[in-house]
Amino acid sequence: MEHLAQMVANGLVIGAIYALMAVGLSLVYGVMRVVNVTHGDLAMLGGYLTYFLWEWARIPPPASLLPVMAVLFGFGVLVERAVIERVVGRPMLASLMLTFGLSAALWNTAEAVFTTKVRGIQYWTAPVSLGPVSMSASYVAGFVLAVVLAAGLFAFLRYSLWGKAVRATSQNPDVATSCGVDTARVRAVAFGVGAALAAAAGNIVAMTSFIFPAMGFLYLAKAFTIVVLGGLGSPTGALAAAILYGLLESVGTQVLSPRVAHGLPFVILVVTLMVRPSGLWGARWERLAPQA
Amino acid sequence: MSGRPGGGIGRRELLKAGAGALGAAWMASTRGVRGAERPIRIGASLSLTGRYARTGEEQYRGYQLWVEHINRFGASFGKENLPNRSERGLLGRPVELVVLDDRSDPTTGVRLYNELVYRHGVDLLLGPYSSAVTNAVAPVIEQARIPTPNPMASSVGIWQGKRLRWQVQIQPPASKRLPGVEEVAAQRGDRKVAIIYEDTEFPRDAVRALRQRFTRAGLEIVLDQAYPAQTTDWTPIIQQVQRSGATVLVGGGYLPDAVGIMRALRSLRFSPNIVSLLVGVALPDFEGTLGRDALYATGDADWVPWAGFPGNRQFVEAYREKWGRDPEYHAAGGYAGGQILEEAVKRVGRLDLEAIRDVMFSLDTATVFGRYKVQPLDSPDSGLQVAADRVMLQVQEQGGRLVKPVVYPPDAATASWVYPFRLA
Repeated sequence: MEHLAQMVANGLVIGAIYALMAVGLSLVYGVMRVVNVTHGDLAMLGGYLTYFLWEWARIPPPASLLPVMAVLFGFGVLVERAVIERVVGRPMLASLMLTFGLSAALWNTAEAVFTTKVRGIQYWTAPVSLGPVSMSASYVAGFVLAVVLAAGLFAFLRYSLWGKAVRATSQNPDVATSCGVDTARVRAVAFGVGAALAAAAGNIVAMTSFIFPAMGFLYLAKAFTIVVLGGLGSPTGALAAAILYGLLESVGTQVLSPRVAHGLPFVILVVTLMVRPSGLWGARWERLAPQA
Repeated sequence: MSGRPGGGIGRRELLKAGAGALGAAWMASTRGVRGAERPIRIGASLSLTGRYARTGEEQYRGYQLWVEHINRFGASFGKENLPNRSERGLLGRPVELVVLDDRSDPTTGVRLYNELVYRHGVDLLLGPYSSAVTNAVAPVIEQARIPTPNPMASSVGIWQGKRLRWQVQIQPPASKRLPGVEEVAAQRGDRKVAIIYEDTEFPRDAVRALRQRFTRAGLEIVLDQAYPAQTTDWTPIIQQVQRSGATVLVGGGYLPDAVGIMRALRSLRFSPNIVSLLVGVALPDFEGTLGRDALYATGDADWVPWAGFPGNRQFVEAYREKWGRDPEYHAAGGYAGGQILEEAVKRVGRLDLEAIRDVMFSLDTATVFGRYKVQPLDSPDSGLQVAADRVMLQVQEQGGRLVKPVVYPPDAATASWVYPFRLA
């Protein structure tokens, strides 16, 4: 029973961090129909920014979370405006190639600037006990921050004017435009928000685990599976699928084996796509937003 | 194509003979002019760009330093008393290094060793960086029949059962990872071992031998678990170790694994009696990332700057003087590669490749990098390193600073093994 509680707790924490990555990726896809391969690298940049704020100014990760997100939001808006906007509405391959190239440029530059050294922040590593569960305080903090941010994102999407514009653009850009929504600006904001969420994931990973320039791809691969599993363009689906992914990884590793556990989400993905091609939560969105 | 047909004189022999005669005539005409002797050219391809660039560069520095010392002093550090020593160079001839960049790519390595042999016409060869490239170029070197010490290939498979006749291993083979761990565990009364490792070539290779060693030492392996290279969180795996009842935890893979495993141990408040991890612990980034959470982890190193092998101290000083920091083991290995060539050539006293090869396979000696002795020629595993050993390091605290003294083998130890492992 104790072990089960520990397994579930681990799964929830890992899942929450994956959710931050996946929700942003899903949001960007939903609004722009762009598969953003740079997403993992944006998390990497967030991780490094967090690391250097700690190393040089002793600002702990929970305190640097919002500033780091703000910087990456700005960076995201800039990148969208300068580059990504040019491939919106173009065939998927164009955006895929563009973001793939950007990704390679980002992590190679990071390797040159930061070196390939593995880095991590020693903050709140002491374990705390929550009933039968033992966990480093940084994990608990990461979990809480991830939940708060996810709730914040959903509140933003549901209640704010910008959020409504984002949803409208995601559901049908043409109708949104005809209703007076500046979809180009909405896309820039959505990309910025996605980048900020990725940066938040990087911030937490720097504290709970470690960072290195090529880390983006490891997380991106997981985030992609989660997004497709949850339903393309559905942040709610991504959130739920991320938690599911975390639980599968944690429980599957122990009940089956680590190798099987890493393949498990893909098995479920294939089955889901066969039974429900729009993903676990994607149906409603897809019906509202028929895409050519 | 090899120019060695069954009988008669092949085209290559004829060309060689012609070149030789011309060379002899030229040598005769320049004899007596100091430094005008034709240099001995030693070729190697190294990973100077690509994924192994940093470590490949380090090995290159080892080669460069060895050549520099040979050319300046006529001997490298620790090899001053060999026969046929000349004032400068090797056998009185200057040594010239021909190094090409294989971009960390085995296929490129194969092309470059062909180029070194057939286009650049080098006299001798030194090995490339990494097991992957070494393995790929092995057939080229066998065909070229040029004696080649391979400093940076730890994979056993390159030599095992291959009957290689021209290449020797210098690095301690992967089967000798984490020395002493089974011995200390058995002595202290540990019964159960958990082996977890990244599911890639090198950790698999290292773990294969560890299994046998633990079983032979009378310990039970209660968990033997590979995990995929894409792992980003080790908590579930460590929880599995915890549930297995193991008091000895060994394995890992590279630096990220070592860091991740230590973080997970701490998060789960789990402290086995021994935590021994591959690769990561020996690197400065390990305690750099983990701080005091790195304490009491053990891990092995191929070599450390304070190791007492002949000439090692001077080698480290020379390296520091030239590059302003401590060398890493790849540099020491590179230097050692040169030293094996140096000793074999000097003992033969002339550039007779077959004789040099025979000596290289029968030497029982030491370099700045460690002991050297290989499986004899014409045995199934000929050229495989048998004498070199790794040292076991443990992260400890001395006067408020994190240090990594040698804790095994006993004759090289600079501190005693802190047992049991405990979380800081």
